[in-house]
Amino acid sequence: MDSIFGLQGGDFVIVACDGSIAHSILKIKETEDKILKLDDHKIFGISGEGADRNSFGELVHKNHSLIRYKTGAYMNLKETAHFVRSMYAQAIRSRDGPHQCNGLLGGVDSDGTPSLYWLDYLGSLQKITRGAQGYANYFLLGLLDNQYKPNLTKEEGIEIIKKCIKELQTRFLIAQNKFIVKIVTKQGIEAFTL
Amino acid sequence: MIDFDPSSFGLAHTYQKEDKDEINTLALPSAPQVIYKSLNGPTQINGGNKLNNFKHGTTTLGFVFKEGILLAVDSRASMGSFLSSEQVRKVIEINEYLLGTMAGGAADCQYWLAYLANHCRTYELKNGSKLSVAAASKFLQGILIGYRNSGLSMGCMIAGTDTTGQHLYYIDNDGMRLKGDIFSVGSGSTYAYGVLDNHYKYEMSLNEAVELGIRAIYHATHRDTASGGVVRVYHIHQNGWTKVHDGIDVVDLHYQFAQQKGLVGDGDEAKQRLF
Repeated sequence: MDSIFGLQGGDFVIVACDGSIAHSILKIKETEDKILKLDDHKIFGISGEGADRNSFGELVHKNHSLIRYKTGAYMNLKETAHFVRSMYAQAIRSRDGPHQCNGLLGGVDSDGTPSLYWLDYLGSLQKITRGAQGYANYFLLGLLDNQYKPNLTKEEGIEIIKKCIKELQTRFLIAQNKFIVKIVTKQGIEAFTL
Repeated sequence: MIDFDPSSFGLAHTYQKEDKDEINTLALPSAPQVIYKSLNGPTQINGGNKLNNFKHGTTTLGFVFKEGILLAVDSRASMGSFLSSEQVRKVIEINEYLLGTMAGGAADCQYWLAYLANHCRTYELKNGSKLSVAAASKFLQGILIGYRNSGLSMGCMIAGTDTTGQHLYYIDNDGMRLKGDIFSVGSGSTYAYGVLDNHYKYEMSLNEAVELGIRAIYHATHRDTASGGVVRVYHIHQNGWTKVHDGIDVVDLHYQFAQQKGLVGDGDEAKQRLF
């Protein structure tokens, strides 16, 4: 039931997530941050049931750091996206089965180019400019397609995200009150709740 | 690691690194070997699996406030409609700075929290400093992820104090670990949440927090048939934990609270006339 959605602009990437964790009829937590910070210029929003989201997120984060320590170099966005995809793919026919979570990986490379990648639990990978995971797809893709234009500014991007949140709160059956939004620009990552 | 050969004197040589020690990828923590898996598959919702048909009849709650963390639990254990005990201890004292609450299978909670206590002590001896609450709860999460499809039933909270302050984590048998300020677990949790969410303020004093914990558990035990017995209250602060109340009977609380409102507590508030 998680909503993860994101947008790529001219020089930034935004990924937003809802903050709620539910267990049968209860909302146990409303302020859970489902967007992982891989390093100062990469974020990975993960949607899935609690344990898978948590454990796969940790796996990606630690292996990403391990590669940096071993090779001495930071991976760029494309390399990271392919790396995460290979982690998903390796698990598909493993003993424990696929990692039951989907993700949106976004960030800005050192030369300032932003990119956003859509990843799913079977190892699909697609570079996109706007997208969502989960039920949010049904409500937001139309709106994102309608509002998107090339080379968006950061302020325009935030306005679109606000419209997306309003749409989810209006039409989605499940009440999602708090959203956590993270924006990556060349200067770094900004996070805030809406 | 320095290897001394006592039969000869010479420069000490360091431990030879073998190729197989090289870490290629970090993997998910490996679970202890699961020798016995439950025969009938994972637990189903309505107790389809007879071996793991644990009842989750309980109410436990914990919340963070300015003076630390308050934990309050009930003490009833039921097997179907039979009350097996009204005096269960659902707060498990892991060590002098960590507490765990029990919901779900009592055996699972008691065993794995004791295992955690062992691990914490070993870490403290090996490393000279206490394990943080975050690390202790993460260790437990790793175990539960490994046993995910084996039918364990645990919904516990780990609360404790370390050098960074007092922290509260919720961990369940699916392997989910959440850090938070207010949690309530068990069949009576929804009733307790109602009272908790209404009166909770971070700036509460210790007395107000204890009162809130007791009231929330009382209301849950009043409406939930699987919760009852006595209320036990613990307070975690920077010097460890204190047992504030060892057992206040919820039946006494019922009449006390009713009296505070000017009522008698016989359940006849609607003044139903029979004819």
